[in-house]
Amino acid sequence: MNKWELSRRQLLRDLGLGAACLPLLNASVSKAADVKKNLFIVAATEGYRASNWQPADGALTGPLPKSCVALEKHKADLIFLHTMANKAFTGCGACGHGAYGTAYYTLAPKGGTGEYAEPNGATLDQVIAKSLGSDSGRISFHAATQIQLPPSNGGPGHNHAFWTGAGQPINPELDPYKTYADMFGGAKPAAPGMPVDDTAAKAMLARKQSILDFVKGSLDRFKMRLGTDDRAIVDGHFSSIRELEQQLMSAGTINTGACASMPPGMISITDNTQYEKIYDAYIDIMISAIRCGVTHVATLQLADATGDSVNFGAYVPGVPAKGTGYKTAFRNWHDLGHNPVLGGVDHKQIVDQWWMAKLSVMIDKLKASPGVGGAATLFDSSVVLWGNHMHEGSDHGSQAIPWLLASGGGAGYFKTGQCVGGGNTAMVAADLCNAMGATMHPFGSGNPALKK
Amino acid sequence: MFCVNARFRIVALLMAAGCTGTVGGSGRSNGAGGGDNSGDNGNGAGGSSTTRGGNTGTGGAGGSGGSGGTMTATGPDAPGPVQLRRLTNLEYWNTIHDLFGSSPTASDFNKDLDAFQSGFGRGAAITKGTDARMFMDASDGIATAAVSNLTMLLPCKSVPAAAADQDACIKQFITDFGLRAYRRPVNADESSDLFALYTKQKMLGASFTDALQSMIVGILQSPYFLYRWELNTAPQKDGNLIKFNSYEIASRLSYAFWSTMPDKTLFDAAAGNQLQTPDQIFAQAQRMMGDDKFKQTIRSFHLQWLNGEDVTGLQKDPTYTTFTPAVAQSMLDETAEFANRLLFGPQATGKMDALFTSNVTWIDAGLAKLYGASVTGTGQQQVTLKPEQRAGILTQASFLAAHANPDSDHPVRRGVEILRHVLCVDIEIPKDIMVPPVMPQPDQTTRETFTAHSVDPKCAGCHQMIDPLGFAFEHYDAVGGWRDIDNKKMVDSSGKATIGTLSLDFKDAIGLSQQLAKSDEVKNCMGAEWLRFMIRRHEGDGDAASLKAGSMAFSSSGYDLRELIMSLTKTKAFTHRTPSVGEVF
Repeated sequence: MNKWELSRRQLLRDLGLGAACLPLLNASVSKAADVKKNLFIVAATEGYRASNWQPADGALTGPLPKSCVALEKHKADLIFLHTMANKAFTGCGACGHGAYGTAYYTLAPKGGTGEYAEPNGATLDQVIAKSLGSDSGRISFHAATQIQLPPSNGGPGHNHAFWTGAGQPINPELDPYKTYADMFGGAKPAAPGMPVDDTAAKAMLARKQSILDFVKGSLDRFKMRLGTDDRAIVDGHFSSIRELEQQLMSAGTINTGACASMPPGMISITDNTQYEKIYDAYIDIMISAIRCGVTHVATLQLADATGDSVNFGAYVPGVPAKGTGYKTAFRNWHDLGHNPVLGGVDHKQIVDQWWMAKLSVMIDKLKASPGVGGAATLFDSSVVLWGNHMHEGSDHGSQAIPWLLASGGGAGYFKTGQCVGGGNTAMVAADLCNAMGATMHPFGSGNPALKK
Repeated sequence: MFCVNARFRIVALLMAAGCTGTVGGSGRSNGAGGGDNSGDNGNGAGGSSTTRGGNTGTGGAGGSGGSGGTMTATGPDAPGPVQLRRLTNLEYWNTIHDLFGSSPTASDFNKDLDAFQSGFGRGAAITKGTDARMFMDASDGIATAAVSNLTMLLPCKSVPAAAADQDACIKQFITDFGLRAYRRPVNADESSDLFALYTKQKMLGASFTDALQSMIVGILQSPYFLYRWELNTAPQKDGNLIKFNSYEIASRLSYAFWSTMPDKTLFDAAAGNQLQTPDQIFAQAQRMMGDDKFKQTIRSFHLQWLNGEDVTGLQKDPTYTTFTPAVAQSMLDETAEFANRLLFGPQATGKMDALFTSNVTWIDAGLAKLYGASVTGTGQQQVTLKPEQRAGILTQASFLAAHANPDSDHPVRRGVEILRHVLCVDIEIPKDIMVPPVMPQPDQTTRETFTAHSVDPKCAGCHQMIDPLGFAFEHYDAVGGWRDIDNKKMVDSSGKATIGTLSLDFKDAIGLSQQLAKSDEVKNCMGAEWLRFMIRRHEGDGDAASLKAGSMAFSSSGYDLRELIMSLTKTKAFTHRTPSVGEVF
């Protein structure tokens, strides 16, 4: 263990909460070779201006539409999916917001009359994560960009896209700085700046382990008489303890010195003008987490079900911070959905294009990362699902879903370089499970058009 | 936009209101939310609606239901199952404070979630290692602070020299502290496990104090501490129901009235099994209502009830110069103090009428500016607002600003909120409709814009109820300030609405509030909302008798909310539960 690294991490901790450190992309692979595939899911909202986003069905032979121009260089690695039904949402056709919480469950939702539907089981990321496992204890990693900012709706289905089971929403991490410290941190020195005493660190770990053993025993006893639904809650809690336990045990086994670098600056997670920086930091952390063997599944929620707090005018060129006709204090995602064009300019299309450029950069980074398990690059062993729960913001359509898959060589499964319409999201979920090797899944049959 | 479908039904309200009808549907559309979010001028839900609080029918309690083991319970006096819920953030930190007698610095936990369609909070699920780490880190910090004062913490007051004395001290600590942390006596197995944790820590080289600290860390991460555990003790059967034992009632009372753990009086009563009869429970409720700790619950209820608590994070158009983060906080403080003055202290009347009609309030200078009132000095001052502009909680800025766009009011959101939480009418999302967004028109008022938006026949059913309620507040802008002119036209806030048997005819929000204050539907809804808050689930058919009993007490008291709240503690919805599906006896 690199003692300087540990004290440096402590220094980072001491920098204060609410700041984020980035980037982590000078990381190098330090764990033993791993043949498992990796899944990234980025959960967007408010759909796309379809005419500028959706290519013609079939092979991607011509130029991509305007919003996807930045993806042109990657199009051989892409599958555009559109007009997919979403069986997970039984609400109205124009109530796409309500589909948010079930978008990655894809099956019939839990009963109830809530506006924001909840899944009746684990979302596809969890099905895959459980199948892949993780040496570090983090079977999956989940982050979000400023979904905590108001206005927000307290309903679980409004701001939780990923679930370990029915009634078990995953709380995403919100602060890249804290995430960095937790993920790449290890034993603490006795005092900031002091070297770590490995013996003391081991003793501390043993003591923490005995506490967690006690907690696990309590949970086991606690659930004995509970009803079925309540037992599931306790099971979820038990899993979280086991995950924490594994994280503690693995702390120090990852060569964090090779995976981390000194952060260039701070980010306020409550300042909505810092959204892009938080996004960039989390993409870097997700990639580093997978490169360093921390996890095989990473998700990022770009917004809650409406995107009301996302202030595009602050950082997207061509979207003014404030303009005539705005119905909101700033040009947020939701406002873009309803009022895409102002003053003759299609701001929503500009934002769609900005996001596709971000995806292109993410693919660039994956392609620039060394592969594991014999793959040439990290991209070759990874699948990126750029998801959405809505057709187009202007129609709030809940049953014509656009998704985008990106993978180097289709991760040995997908037939990339094409655009496929129709079917439903459960079929894609099935394909993703199959591609990742999670063959025991509830999503039924895949879409034959997607498979090599 | 909220639209109607053919399934619109009005159901029976409480018996005391003299209403009859048919119960339809179950569950609640969305307790925590209500309508679409800001920036969305009317898009979204709508559809069939159901007035809650019925006394017959097939409504459910939400979540799991049905029987447990071989026991089944049905009928109007067979309350639904209790769902396991973790302490809310407020409950957690209050409990920590009372457990250790100090106020630690609260950590950031995940935001509370809606508790089983009740509209009131429960602690967020713990599902990932990162969640568990939050509680581990918080427990570490709390325990570290706690062991810095062993005299306060330990029954033996200091660290005994002899190992045997140390063990004896720890065992006594487990008994004493365990009772308070688990909110009931620690049983032999649990005591043994805790002592084993202590000895294991010592084996690993920990000192007495460090081992004690680790044990506290373990206790604070234990489900018996983190969850409301009333589901988990040996069940006390009462026919086909389970009756909560005295310790369980103590917890139900303390979290309902104080949002924290039981105090010594409650523990003593529980130890003597003195919390079993309705009179015993009522007496404690009466006592607890007179304690300062009740104020926090009053605040918590009123800010959650009308979903005003998010107002502090809202961003409003900069043209609203009276709206600042400090003023937003003052809005919450105003509503809390307004409710406190109504329900707490010797001058309180408790009358529901005042909740909806009083123009006397408590505001600071910043909020006074928004209201066009005058306040001198610092802090909250009692102010009488213009009676033609303000009447009760629905005309307070916390409600008005929370249910508005950043730069305009939103009559649909305001109307839906009243429909759902003041009249207890559930609204379901219609299927197979396409709702165009509402676009502001340069020559139209907000009312005119929304009226044009609601002409679709499929939407008209619900909007006949929603829109008039929302339009009544057209005199209040996006931050709750008064206006006579909207988009260069005179504001029209008049309206008529028929909601079940309730007919409303008003010229503005003042008139509406006055009529709501007198309506049986609202009185019944207040009973349902307080019951939801106290038991953190949506009422079902099996709660009808409990709601009826609460309603009768409410009526007998001249609609004193305090009597309503206390009377609910005597009902089976508070003292009993139906076994959960799969529960093991």
